[in-house]
Amino acid sequence: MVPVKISYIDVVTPLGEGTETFYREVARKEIAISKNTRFDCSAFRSDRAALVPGISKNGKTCVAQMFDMLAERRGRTFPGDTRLIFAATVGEIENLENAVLNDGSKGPGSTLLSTASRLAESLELEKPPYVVSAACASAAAAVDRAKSLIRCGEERSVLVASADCVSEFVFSGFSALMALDREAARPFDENRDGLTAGEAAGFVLLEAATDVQKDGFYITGSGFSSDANHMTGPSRDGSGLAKAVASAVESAGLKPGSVDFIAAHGTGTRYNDAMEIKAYKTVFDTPCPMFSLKGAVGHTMGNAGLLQLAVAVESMKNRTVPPSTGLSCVDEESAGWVTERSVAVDSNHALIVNAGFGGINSALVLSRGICE
Amino acid sequence: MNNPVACITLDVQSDAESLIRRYRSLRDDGTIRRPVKNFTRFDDTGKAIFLAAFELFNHTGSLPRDPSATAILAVDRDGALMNNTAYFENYVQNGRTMGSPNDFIYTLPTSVCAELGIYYGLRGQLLYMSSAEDDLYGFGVGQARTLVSEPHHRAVLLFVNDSDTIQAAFITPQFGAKHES
Repeated sequence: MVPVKISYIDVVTPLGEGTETFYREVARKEIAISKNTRFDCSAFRSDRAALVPGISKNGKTCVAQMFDMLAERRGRTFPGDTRLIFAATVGEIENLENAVLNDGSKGPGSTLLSTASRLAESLELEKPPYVVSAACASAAAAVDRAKSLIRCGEERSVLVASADCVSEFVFSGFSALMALDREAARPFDENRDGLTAGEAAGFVLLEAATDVQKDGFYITGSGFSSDANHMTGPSRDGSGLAKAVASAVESAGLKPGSVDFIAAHGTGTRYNDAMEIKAYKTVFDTPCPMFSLKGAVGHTMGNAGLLQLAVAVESMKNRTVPPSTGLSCVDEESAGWVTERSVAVDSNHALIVNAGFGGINSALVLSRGICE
Repeated sequence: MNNPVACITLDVQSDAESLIRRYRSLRDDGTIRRPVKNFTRFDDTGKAIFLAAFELFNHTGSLPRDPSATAILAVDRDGALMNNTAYFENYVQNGRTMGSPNDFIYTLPTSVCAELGIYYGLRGQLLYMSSAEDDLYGFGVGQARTLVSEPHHRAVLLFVNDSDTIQAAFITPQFGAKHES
């Protein structure tokens, strides 16, 4: 089977640009969540958010500005025959917001496909782009699609670009669902009370590799499932997520004990985190180090999996799993799993786990220098 | 290989009222045995996708044999644009203080897939895709083929909405196409 290598990965986050910077700040337990200054939050359950520094009202959407930052950092050079897959939940939703607020139209240019087309053109990619959306597992689903297209020989090189931003559209919805923590999100904490909205963007270039390099990073497994249970709440017993995790581990040719750490979804909502830890306990015989990024940069929606992947790569490079941010009193069920401080782990395999609206569950296996 | 086992085409130029009438008619004749929760809340595409699913399963005469390994893939060009617009218009009309949680849950392109999964108990992957390719149905079938080539999926329920037409197909790793209409 063709090894699928991560040739390039980069992120723009509320804690800075670049995977090394982001990992370093997460390892320091830095928190980017503060008062949301982008729009009036006085009617909402919370006024907290994690915003990317440097985003301004300059006529371009937040997503477009984040992609500009990423493109500039890369120098806009990707192989011309690279297939772009854009992953998001609502993407450039400000176009729709502005259209409704200003002229009552349906917001031309606000579809995910129009964003993908603009990005492909700006990066001078020749092939028509694809869009993948799977709620908060969108980036993970896009990475899986890229893996499949490369393995079956349809593509040699796939760029997954994902981005979602803090918008009035999404903020008002989560506020109405009573899903926002009034303070900063506290994933896996006993007193957690909801999520915090965040934003980020990322690029990951996946390519067919001719051989496996010792220091290379590869996507070796994936698993997906749905709960078929409820539109917003996860299955209480975690069985759907457990199935996705078990499938991912098995498809990578591994046993659960071979997984060195978990980059968890960890939203900070009571039900998600409880379901997630139940799923891990179903699959793993012994606790596995696990962290969430959402206490640091909030829930970045469709982009969440790409941030977790970036930190997982850096954790392997640095042989250290970062702490889970926002913890003050670890939930009893998560004790022994969630990392309260950095943990030295010489790791070869990591799980990247996401879950989303509609009961969507996903798991990817990241491996260093090893393929099936 | 991996040709659609079954494929149906549904014209969806009809308005919401026509789709609801069609749903009620299928309820009355017993094709739809259980009511679909929130059917009237779905946008026209969502309503049409549900109707296409009923027609598809009516056509094949059975539901997927392995619901836990059946994925749902929705493909179109607009995503949830209609529902997104409706949600935000409603929020603005209400003074930008409170969104409708019941409308918000349908603002994702995978929302209707999730409702289908809940209704039929299908627990495979839920996925939305779009492409600028001219042949959107061919694109959808191609993506579905790669999904069933993975070991954890045995079938894909595919819905492609393009040019006011929904094409629904049931794709398995088996060879051959039958029941096409």
